[in-house]
Amino acid sequence: MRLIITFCLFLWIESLGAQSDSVHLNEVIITATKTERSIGTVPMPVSVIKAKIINQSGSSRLQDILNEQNGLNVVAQINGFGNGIQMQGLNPDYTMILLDGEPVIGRLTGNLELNRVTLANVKKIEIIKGPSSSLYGSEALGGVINIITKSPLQNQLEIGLKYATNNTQDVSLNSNWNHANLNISLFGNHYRTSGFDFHPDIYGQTVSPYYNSTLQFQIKQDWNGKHLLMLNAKAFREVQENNYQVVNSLDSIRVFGTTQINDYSISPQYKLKIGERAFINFTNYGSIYQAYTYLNQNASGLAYYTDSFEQRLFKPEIQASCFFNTNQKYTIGAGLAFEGVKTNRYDDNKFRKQHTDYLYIQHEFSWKHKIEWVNGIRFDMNPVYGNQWSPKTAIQWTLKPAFKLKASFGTGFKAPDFRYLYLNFRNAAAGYFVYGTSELKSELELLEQKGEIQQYLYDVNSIGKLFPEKSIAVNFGAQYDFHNKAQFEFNLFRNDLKNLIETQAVAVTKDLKTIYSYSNIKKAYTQGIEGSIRFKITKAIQAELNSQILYAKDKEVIQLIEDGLVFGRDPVTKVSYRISKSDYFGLYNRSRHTESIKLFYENSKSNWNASFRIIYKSKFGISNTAGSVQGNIRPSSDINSNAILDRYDHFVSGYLLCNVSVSKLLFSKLKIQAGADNLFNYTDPDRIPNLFGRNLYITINYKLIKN
Amino acid sequence: MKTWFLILGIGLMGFLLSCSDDDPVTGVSVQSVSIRNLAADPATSYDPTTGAPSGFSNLFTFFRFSDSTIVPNSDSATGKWDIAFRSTTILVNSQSSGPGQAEAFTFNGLFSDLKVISQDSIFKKDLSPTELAIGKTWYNYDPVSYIISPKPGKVFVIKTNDNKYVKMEILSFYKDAPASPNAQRDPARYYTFRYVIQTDGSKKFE
Repeated sequence: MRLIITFCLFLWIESLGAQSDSVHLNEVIITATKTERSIGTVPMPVSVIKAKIINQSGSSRLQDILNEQNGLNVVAQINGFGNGIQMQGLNPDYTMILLDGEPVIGRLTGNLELNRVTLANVKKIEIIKGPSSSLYGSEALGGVINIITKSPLQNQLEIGLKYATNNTQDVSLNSNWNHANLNISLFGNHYRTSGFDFHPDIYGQTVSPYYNSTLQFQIKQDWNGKHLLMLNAKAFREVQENNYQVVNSLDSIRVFGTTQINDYSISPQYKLKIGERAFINFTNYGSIYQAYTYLNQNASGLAYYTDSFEQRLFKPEIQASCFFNTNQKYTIGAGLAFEGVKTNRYDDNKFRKQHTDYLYIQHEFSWKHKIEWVNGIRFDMNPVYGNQWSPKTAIQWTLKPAFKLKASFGTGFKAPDFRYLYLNFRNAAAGYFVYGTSELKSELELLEQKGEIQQYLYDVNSIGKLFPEKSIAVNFGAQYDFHNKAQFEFNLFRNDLKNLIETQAVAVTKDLKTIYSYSNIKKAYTQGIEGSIRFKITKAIQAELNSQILYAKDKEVIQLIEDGLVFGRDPVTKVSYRISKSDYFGLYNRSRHTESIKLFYENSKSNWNASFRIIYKSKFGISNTAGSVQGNIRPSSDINSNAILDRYDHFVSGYLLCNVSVSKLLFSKLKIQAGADNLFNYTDPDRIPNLFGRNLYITINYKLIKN
Repeated sequence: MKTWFLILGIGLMGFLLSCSDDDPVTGVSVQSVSIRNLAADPATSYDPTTGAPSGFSNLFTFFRFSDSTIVPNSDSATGKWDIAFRSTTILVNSQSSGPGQAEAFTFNGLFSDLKVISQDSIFKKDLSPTELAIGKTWYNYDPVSYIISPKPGKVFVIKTNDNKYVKMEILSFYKDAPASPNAQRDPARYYTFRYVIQTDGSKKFE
């Protein structure tokens, strides 16, 4: 039956004949090789989200558009704060997010808050799947998302206004000025929302009101293509006014206060072209991220909680590329990354510093437009966690102009986050302490001296130096271009992860407080397949079907199940039973299936535009511990007390999101758009706290171009 | 002293009401017993406004397997008890915990899987208050919901003071063993467990 449908689809696409224009993108990609490369010759799994799609989708923040991409999942963090991006089933910690080629910092608990990034000045987003540590080092273990901003070579002024549910306002202004070879861009965005509340009966909102502002300035001077001098500077500030109640084991305390986030970055760049065949690029990236929270008690006005976090990164890098001949290109890069973190979560609130020296080499080889082969290796030297080699090889074989095979193999790593080393966190109310590995021994000695340790749960001597988390990954895929009318694509992936850093319960105090630290214990894998079909239904309607099947499992759990050592306990009868391999579902927070159907309508004559997108995520488990949303206890997924996710446990039901938008361009300058995200108003307040329900919006965009 | 008796009295009453001897599984020498709601220093009062539990005695509840009996606290320094419970801590009567000779080890498997104690099993004594044979190894703790749940597939094998072998599984930490306990609502520190004792001194459980 399925075969017949596929066959009919083929015939139908054939019958579309000459009416459709090219759907093949001849886009230039810079993230995959750190050099310009046409998308058709990139041998790694790569995808591009263009500004046009972002506009048609009515998306204004980064998470909105990423959640609709094949194989990407925006997941709420377990503690309910922030959204992270999950790629190929890997946690948000393992995907590097770049803004104009430079890393975004400020991973408070591993993930980057995607709401920080506005899409109003985004030209395109490049997504590279699979480890990219061979070019980018730590963090690029699972892949790279590079957000590239606009700097058009014409004089233009663009104003955008958006008004949406929850009294959300998004205003942006984008201006470009060109004179001779000088190009200046200035961008400003202000976002404001009243937040939302799932539980009006509970004091305080689920998300308190907040606003943020983004300012970006770019200046570029090009001297006849020989020298290029560029400066890219960005400032961001977010302020959230909190009013809520904090619930602990015994008490609920009403608090008020402010959370403020500041993020600044600057990146001067100088590019020198040597002859026709080589260039040297020098960048000097610096970034500061600060987050402060102050909470006071409503009743007494006394301080309840303060949290401060500051991260700094300074990263000079030099890169040289040279064409050896028309088929071969070499790229060599070297750099230093100085990183510092200061927070009151560490013992003395002083800057902890690290520096990494790195060197990378890449060879790009192409043969008769049939073979594209990229080899690269990067060497990172760090005195804290040691040296890292990250090789990668990727090859593309064009069998016919329309038919391509891709294979890539590489390793990735993620350096132990500062918090794993230096965290010194006591939550006496909730009954636990967490100490980084550098802090643990002295803290345990203190507790031991006071006679507070009841029992050790782990061999303390085996907790010490942390190693980087590592992955080895293989991607294999194919792409078929059906007479430029339809494109079929699939990619098989497998990531083998080791040395994953996990929270490790170390000891219990006499008053039942658990002491946690971290160790490199976990091994896991993620594997699956993603596929997509893109075709034109009519000249004006472009359709896209996407699907990902994902298996993500803990290897140690599998080993224990094979040894017959994993059990569950029936909650009612209290009797234990043995878990089999087929009972084990896998890691938390991952849907087995994610599917999407997208339709984009574009009529260049009438200037009407529309989009219709459906995203489906199948069931998943949240966590083996309970969660707290507004003091409401969200029970653990673990029904049978074995701390793994198996078929006896509680799952969050699969769900479907439907997003629609329609727009019209008037007088070729003014675009008016209306739309709805999550049209059917799907919510699951305690389990999916980042999904607040139907979002209706209207946008107005005015663009003035003067050549 | 009065409070001791009071607590003991409450404990015993609770115990008598809840203990039930099942029929022996096979033969006369193997007995299988279920204990419900063994009080292990539960709260005796709750703060009227916050609901915070209080009034803990900080005393262990001592238990003897051979006749399923709670041993009075006055006999804590004797060999009359095998294991003791207080909050989430379990002691066996030996070395740092008492003058007895009781020992224990953990068998990872189903209760019914353990038919014979293998010869190479290593029993452990309570060496010090931080090195206990059972101690706190029997449960998982959820730091958000504060729920204590006994780990499945953990069977404690105990050699009693009178040289009998017992296999024991803890089933619940909450009064009346609710299916989905709530740490705020359900009184904690009430052990429900089952055990099988071989009274002929052999290591076989069937």
